[in-house]
Amino acid sequence: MSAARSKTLSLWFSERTLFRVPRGVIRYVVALGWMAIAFAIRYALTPLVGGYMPFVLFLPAAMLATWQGRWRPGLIALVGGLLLGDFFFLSPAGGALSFHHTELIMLLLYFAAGLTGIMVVEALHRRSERLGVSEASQQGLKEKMTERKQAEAALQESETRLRQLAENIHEVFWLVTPNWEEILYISPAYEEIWGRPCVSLYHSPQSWLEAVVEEDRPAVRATVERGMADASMLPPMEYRITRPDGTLRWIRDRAWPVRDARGNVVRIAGIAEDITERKEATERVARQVQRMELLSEVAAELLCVEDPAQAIEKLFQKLASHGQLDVYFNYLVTGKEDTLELRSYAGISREVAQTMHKTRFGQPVCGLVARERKPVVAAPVQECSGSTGAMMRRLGLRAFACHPLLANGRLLGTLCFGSRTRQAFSEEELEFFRSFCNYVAMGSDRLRLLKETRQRAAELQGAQAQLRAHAKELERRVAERTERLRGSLKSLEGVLYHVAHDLRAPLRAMHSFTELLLQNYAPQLDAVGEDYARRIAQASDKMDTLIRDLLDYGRLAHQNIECTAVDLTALLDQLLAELNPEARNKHAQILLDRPLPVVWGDEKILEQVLANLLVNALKFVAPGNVPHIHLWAETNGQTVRLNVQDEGIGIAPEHQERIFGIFERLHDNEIYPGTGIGLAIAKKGMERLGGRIGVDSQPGRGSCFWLELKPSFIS
Amino acid sequence: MNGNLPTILHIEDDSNDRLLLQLAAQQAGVRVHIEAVKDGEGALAYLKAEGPYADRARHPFPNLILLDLKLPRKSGFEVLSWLRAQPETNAVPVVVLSASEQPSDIQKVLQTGGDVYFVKPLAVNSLVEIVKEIQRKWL
Repeated sequence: MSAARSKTLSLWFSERTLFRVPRGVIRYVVALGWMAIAFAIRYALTPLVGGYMPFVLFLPAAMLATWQGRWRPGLIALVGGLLLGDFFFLSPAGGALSFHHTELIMLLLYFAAGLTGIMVVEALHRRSERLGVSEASQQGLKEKMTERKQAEAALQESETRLRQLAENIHEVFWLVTPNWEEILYISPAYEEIWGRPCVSLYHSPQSWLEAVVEEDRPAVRATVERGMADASMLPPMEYRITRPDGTLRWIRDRAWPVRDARGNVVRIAGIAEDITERKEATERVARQVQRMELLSEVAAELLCVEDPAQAIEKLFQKLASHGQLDVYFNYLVTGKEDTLELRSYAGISREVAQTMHKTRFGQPVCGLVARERKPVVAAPVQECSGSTGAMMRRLGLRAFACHPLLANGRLLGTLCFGSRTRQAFSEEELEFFRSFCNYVAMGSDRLRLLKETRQRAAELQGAQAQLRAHAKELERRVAERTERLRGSLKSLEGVLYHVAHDLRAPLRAMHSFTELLLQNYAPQLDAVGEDYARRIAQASDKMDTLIRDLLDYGRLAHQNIECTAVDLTALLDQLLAELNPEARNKHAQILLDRPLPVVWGDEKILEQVLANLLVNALKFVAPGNVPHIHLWAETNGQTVRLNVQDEGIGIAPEHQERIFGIFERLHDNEIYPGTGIGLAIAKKGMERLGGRIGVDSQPGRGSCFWLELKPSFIS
Repeated sequence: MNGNLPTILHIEDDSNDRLLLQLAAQQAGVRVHIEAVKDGEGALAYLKAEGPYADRARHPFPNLILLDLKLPRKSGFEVLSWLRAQPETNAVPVVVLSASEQPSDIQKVLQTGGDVYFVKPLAVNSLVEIVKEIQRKWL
């Protein structure tokens, strides 16, 4: 304490620059100076005081000299003052060392007082030095002091801030002794959260624990006790407290040990916060998640089950196990539009269920829900009047919710949930019921659709089976008819065969005997008779050609095709050789561009086609003209085009299609005899080969018949 | 009648054709003995020397058979198969003279054992040529 006080005093001095201590010899000069000043003042006062108090003023001079220059200058100033006082102010003036006994006493007193003062001041100096308040460190000390002051100010500021923070924040800051017996600080939020004054806690430090609800208290106490034993073992605690008004709050309390420089726990600090809302939100979310899970389960269930009642039952059991529900009943619309039938239920006796087996639209409560298509929620039952209340009382329900089951605007029924213990259903629960009912409704609707689809599928299957049977029957009939047709065709072929044989036999006879008549009996016939006989021969000849052409045509239509590689050059050479007599007859000029390509086709058919074209080319020339025939081929990728160009009479464009029809003739039979079947045979032949035939022609400028054939890749 | 002449058995139901063959043979100057039967049964009877053909002196075994395909009751093919199945007739040349130009018929004849196939011609001269060829090749 005293050290501190002396320190303050030396500070007081050191701060005053006037008393700054001079150094070395100067301090003696200063001492003499003080002595001179004291002398001057005393001398100036001599007229007033005379010889009284000659030394008084030298005392402070000696003191000041000592203060500034330590005891030596002080002693000099004291002795100097003694000499000056004695010499100038003691009577007789100017007489030195001639003392009166009173004067001597005065002199001794002065000396003693001066010496005492010097000693005191010197002692003060020594003390200061011992404390390190040396002349050199005084400046540093001053700076330190300033810093400290600033730090103190900052500390104070920060403390203010902390206090403001502590006192305005919603969390409770608290500070206790390590043994938890004394509350050192508790922030005012305590009053808000605990609903008790802070003072009460200061008075009875355990009162906060009394507020903790019964069930949580042992755990909290255990944690605190562990904390007392080892302050580093202070896990965060979560507990509930009951406020004086009866409401519950959730608290999260965290604590830390506060240690001194040596690591000893000196205090326990902590923050307690009200996490009721957070807790509730978490619980709400958890409940929500649980419900969502439940809903998704329901959805999955509804997708699997054949009967939605099973899903409802299952869900109800889950809800009941969570202690949320006691009763449910599910009505469904029956065939009759305005009647509901109890489909499934739980939590009510069979007898009660039988009494409510059926309900009509508009009848409370489910009938009402069904008619209005709006949910009815009732809770608590005491407040419910009328029929709903009556029903609920009958079933012993306190909270009740009934929802319509609506799917795509169709009412399927109602679903009600009730609790005998709960005061009311929360908004979230009601939302959950609504969602659940939607799910059930949609699931039921899906099942209905599924059933319908299945039924339709079954019907469809039946129809398909019928169709299949029908198709089989048809197939059978087609096969039968085909067989019959084949038979007809066979008989037709037979007819053709007979035509070939039987029709031509009499012809042959006619022709042959007419010939024989002409050959052997010409002398007996006159010119007319001979002409008649010739006409018979010609007519029978022509008829034979006609029959043969027709047979060719008929055969082409259903003859088997045997494709091979056909060398057009060889084929045409052979054909031209066969036609050579006729060609020579007509002096025909035939030009063949060799070599012609090898094509893929039936040789017999190709021969028929080409023979007909060549015969035509030789035949259809203007009377008196010589046939010019040019044969050449062009290969163009996938087709070979064989051209038979003549310089004959040509064909008018309007007839170019017609000439390929059977029995189509453009010319007088007298000039161009023929059956009108040749080109029809050519066309049919090309059709059978999968090729094409055509003609480019202009009347009077010749014709170019062309065939499109497939090239052969085998030569 | 004349045992020195080669005998042709002509199996033909058409009387015109039978007459025409006779005339063609005359016109060709081919000296043959032509025995004609109207159908397959007749041919069989002739070849087996049964019934009216029992006398081989009058109806000698043929050197060649001329066969029509279209015959009443038994077809030419059946007759041909029978001929080829019998050891006695197995080696007798069979010339088919038919009105049919169907390649299938021609093929079938050659497969069944016919030696040559001629289509009955319209002109007498052609028939004469055929007879000449038959004589040249087969008699």
